Amino acid sequence: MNVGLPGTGIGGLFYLLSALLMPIREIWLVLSKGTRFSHKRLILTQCAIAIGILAGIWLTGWLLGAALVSSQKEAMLSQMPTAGFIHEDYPNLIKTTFVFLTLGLLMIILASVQILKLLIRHRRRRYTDQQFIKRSSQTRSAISAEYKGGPETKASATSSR
Amino acid sequence: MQEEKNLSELVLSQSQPKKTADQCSYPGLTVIIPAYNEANSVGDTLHSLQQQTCVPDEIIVVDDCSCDGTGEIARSFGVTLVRPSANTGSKAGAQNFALARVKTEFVMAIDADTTLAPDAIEKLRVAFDDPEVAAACGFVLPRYVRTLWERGRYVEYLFAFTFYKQVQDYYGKPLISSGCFSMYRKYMLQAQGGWSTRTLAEDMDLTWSFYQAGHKIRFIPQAVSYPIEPHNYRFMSRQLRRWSHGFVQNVTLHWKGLLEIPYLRSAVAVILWDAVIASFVFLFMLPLLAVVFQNPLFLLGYIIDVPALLIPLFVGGLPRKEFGKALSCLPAFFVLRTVNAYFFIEAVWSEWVLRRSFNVYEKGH
Repeated sequence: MNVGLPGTGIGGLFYLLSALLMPIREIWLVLSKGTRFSHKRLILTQCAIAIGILAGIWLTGWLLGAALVSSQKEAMLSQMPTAGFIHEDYPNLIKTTFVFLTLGLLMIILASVQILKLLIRHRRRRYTDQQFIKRSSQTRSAISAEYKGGPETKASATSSR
Repeated sequence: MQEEKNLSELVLSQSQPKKTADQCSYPGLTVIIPAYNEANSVGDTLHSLQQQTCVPDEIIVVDDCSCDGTGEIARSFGVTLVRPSANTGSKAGAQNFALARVKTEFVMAIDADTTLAPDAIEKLRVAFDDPEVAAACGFVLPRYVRTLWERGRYVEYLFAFTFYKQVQDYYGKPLISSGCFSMYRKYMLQAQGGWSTRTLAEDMDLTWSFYQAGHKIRFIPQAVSYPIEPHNYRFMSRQLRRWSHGFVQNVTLHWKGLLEIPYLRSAVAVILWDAVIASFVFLFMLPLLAVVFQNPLFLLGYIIDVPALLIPLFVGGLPRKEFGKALSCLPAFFVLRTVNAYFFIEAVWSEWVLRRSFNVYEKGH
């Protein structure tokens, strides 16, 4: 099951980055932990898929840009039929700005998860400390209540003589 | 912990699968098949299990008070048939009913509408060479790809199991061990109390519980299963409602524990964000922009990721000689995705905003 299977939203970007990071992670594991370079086929396949998807996204942007320029050119020609040669420069609609915005949003979400994790850990630690302090004070009270019977009784017996 | 029900068990038949000379036995594996009115499909499931290259020790069919002869069909295959005195109310309930009878080291749960590739069990068992693995799941593809909904589901699965799930497995965190076909180490499963009925997605609940207990989950793409997917809107909507609510319920239940699990916490956060935002964009923003600016080009947003989708479909479909089939099913995927968006938004609204939990388990076919 895949709830909300995304196309090229944040989720798609997350998995694209995950796939592209696979060879880097594998090399890091080999160098730092001395493990063998395993999963070669899986890493190659997933990286190839990720690169293919990125190329597909770029191509989509280029095709949309071409379609937009073509439609604008037709509109211009229909208004000015005697116009001369018009230089065609197809812009890619996938602007770098959009890419960085999406990447930035992904980083914000991932950072928020880390912050939430630290907050929950801090709360748990505080709760644990409070519980420890509460139990310690209960233990101290119990010990002093038990001890009250001993020395005070001896003192009163001494003083009565 | 599972709520204990005082259900008297009726063991209607008991036997072991017969092996041919070409089949190996898999000592220590019991297969549980929960079944409620599955007369049309349980026979195929049992046949595919008995034709496995590795035959399980025992196959238990839980006839959950069916009224269409499911039990009789199962009995004709010579498997162990158990029948609770009252309907357990859910797939998890039926599976737990049989779990108490399992004596083997491993247990597999498979839906009564799911068939397996002949070597599925043999391929899946490899995952358990690692003693830390609690569960393993395989590749899932719809058995029938005929209607709009089955076609959409076919593209969805082919994409997800070719790309997303394999990346998740590399990082050691498959999101779910699919309920339709998974194998478990019995003592780890019992330590979790079996399959819980506290959410509508018991497979996700169990998977995330395993992670929090420090266990591993594996995805083995070579082990292939073929469940029957909903063929019309009525059944599809029931399944999507159940899955959407199940996901939201599991996030509500597990979010604190998930924060301690690297990669999984990020994957779930990203999926949640994307599902909510993408659903909102699909259902409201795109149509609104098209109307406000009187420009139908905004509707291209529904299909703008076609090239991105094609790549995993090509990689997943080509070895199966099914790329053409995947291509022809692509339009249906966009319809299913938009419908999925509605049910997800509905689940978030109902569970988190209105605080109304949906707990009715409805079959998907």
